[in-house]
Amino acid sequence: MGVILAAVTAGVFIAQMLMARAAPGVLSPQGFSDLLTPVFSVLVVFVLAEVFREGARLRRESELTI
Amino acid sequence: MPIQINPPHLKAPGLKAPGLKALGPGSVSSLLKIALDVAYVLLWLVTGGLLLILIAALFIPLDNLTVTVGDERQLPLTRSLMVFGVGAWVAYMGAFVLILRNLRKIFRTLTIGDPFQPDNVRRLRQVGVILAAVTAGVFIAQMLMARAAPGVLSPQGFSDLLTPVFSVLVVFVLAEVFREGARLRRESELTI
Repeated sequence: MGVILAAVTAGVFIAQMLMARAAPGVLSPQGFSDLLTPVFSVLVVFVLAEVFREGARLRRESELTI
Repeated sequence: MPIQINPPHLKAPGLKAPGLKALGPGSVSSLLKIALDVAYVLLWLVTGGLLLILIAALFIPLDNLTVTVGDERQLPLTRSLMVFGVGAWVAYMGAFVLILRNLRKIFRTLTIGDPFQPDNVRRLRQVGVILAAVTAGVFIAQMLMARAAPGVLSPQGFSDLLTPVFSVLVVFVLAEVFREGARLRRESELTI
């Protein structure tokens, strides 16, 4: 999910940059400040994935314990 | 007929490709914590500034002052309107300061590589409650403003509530996930 979100963020950034070059004045390119929230979200998803991995490890350990 | 040889897949439980570290010191979570720290300080400054404006609004004379709204219309700036407007912003920013405070504490535990501390459950629930209060507050404030000055501001529709309500529910679900993680961690600690 994090990878897809990162790909979408990068895709939108590149597409908007290309569109802004193809039709200057019609569409303005995304600034780097516009990327802050999506990049933050992508990183949070990666951290959450790691938290879930740690939870899964604890669960496996708990299942193996008699 | 060509012979196809597939390379063997090497797998070992202990082997792991070097990647981006998400938890622990020097990881993505510590980077995010720094970002949250910066945002927290900035938000405190903005909230403090707004609080000063709110205090000033109680005392400064507002005679003959007007406020321009979207379509160039001039409205008289009354004290109650000023206090309500600035007060609403102070409450809004203050709520986000509280949310960031909890998030910083949660990310501190992620930075030390221990996400399932029992306190994180309480912190996430607090974030959920504050987010729900902000969502309800914005909805009610916008409805009141739309009634007080019809045509200037339109009230929020129920469809505008979908994303914030979804976010609140996700936070509560995450709190439950962390509660389960904390239970497993406690069990694991008790196991010899």
